[in-house]
Amino acid sequence: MIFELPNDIGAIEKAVEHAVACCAHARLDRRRLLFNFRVGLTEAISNAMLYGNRNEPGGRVRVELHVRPGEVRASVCDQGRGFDPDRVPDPRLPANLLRPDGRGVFLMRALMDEVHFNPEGNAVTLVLRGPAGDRGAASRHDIRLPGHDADDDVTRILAATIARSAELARQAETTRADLEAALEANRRMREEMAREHASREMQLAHDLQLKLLPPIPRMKGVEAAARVVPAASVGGDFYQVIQLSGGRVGVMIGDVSGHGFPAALIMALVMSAATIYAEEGRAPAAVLEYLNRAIGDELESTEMYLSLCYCVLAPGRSGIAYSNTGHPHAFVVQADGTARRLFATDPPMGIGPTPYGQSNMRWRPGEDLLLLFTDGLSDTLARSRRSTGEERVLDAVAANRHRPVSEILDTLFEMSRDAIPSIPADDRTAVILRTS
Amino acid sequence: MSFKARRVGNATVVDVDGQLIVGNRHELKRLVLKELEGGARRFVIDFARTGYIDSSGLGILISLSKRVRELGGELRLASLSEELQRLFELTKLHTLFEIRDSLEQALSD
Repeated sequence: MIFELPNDIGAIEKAVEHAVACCAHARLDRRRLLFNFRVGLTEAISNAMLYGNRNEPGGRVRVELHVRPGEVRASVCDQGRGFDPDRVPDPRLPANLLRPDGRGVFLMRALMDEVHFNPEGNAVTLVLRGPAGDRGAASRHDIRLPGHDADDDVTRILAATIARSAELARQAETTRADLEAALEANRRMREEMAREHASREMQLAHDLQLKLLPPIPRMKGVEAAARVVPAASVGGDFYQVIQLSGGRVGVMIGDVSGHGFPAALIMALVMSAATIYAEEGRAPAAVLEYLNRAIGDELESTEMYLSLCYCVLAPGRSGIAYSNTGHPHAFVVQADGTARRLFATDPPMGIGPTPYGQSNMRWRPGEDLLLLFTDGLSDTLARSRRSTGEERVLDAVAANRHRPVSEILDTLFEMSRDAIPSIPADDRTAVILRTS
Repeated sequence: MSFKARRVGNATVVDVDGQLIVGNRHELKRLVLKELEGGARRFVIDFARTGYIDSSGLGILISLSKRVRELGGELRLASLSEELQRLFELTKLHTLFEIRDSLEQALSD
């Protein structure tokens, strides 16, 4: 049986119930059918809708169900570009317990008897079996014979079939070694293809991230430099320096909680929306409010969140207005080398309620530096027991505070390049700005 | 399927009737956040009438528990069926949550 679903997560429960109802004659352990199969199929379908079809309303998901006594097979196929199931993090590791990703694939594998992904990674087949004894007994019911009216014929054909299958089984046994070798070769080839596919996808996400990051505009009275060094898995970091009306400048840094293509996608949405709202010259809290309206649903459905700090300042003016949704590393480094933190005004976007708060911080034109950076930069430096990565970044900026901002930036990235990362690498991003 | 919040002593008990899955998890989130805004801090999610939970449902429980804890509260889980208990153990999430056998136990200490 095959059915197609619209890309609507509200339709999943009914679809799963429908599939379960179709499995009634499979004679499986009822509790496993009602729990393992329901959860496994829910995961497969929601994965297809949210990640495969990227939650696009026009997308379709195809579910194919093969039911026979002792076994149920469900294949779920989406229209996406696929993913590499082997790259999904193990959700059971303590460091991953709070992460939203990886648990779906893990549950499918844990709850079903078999799980197969196609080489493209856009279709998954789940297999649930009954107890072995049942399966053997049941398989005889599977033989379909013509001429049910003649019992003798049936017996004869049945006997011949059983004899034939015994012979086939013997042949199969002799060629089994060959088959296993062929299967092993096939599996390796699929793995290779999946790896290539994943790396192509990553390359695409990289390109997207770097292409979207605009060059810093030349602005009167503003000296700014910014850089992103993407990690292998693309962490969704971004920055923006935007020329606003009246000589003002908007400075934004952000970090999407997820990784890979979905994070790059959120990043792309934020950057295009942010430019529009910021260029309208709105106050930081209002810009964030509009941003949340533009991407809030996307964040919620993907269970990602966004830490973002947006500052507005102007040459010759002595104040910064800013809103900060949980971005940890935003500072004003003063002439004497001390740093004052631009504290978060709100929890990360996607978690916290709106409207957003806004704060002001004193700013001395010609003296102070605005310094924004992401975890990826400070985490790579967090080696020493005496100081955190953040302290090392602040120390380096303070020591170089009188140099041109592009040179300060170079110093930071040289430090982090030489450091031996103690945790898996994330994107490293920093923005430094001074005004006259 | 539905989620309902009720007050028992100083605790807010949320009954999960049916499934907690990708299609309805945000209803639970909204309900708990609303109660949080109203000042509730002690939560018990009662799964006595729950069929199954998927990874999205687990994800919402994690984020809600985190949010409640950040505000100085506590979120407990009660009355998990054998299968649901196994789901939490498989994913190691039983180490993250306060899980009680029954609603009475979740409310008692």
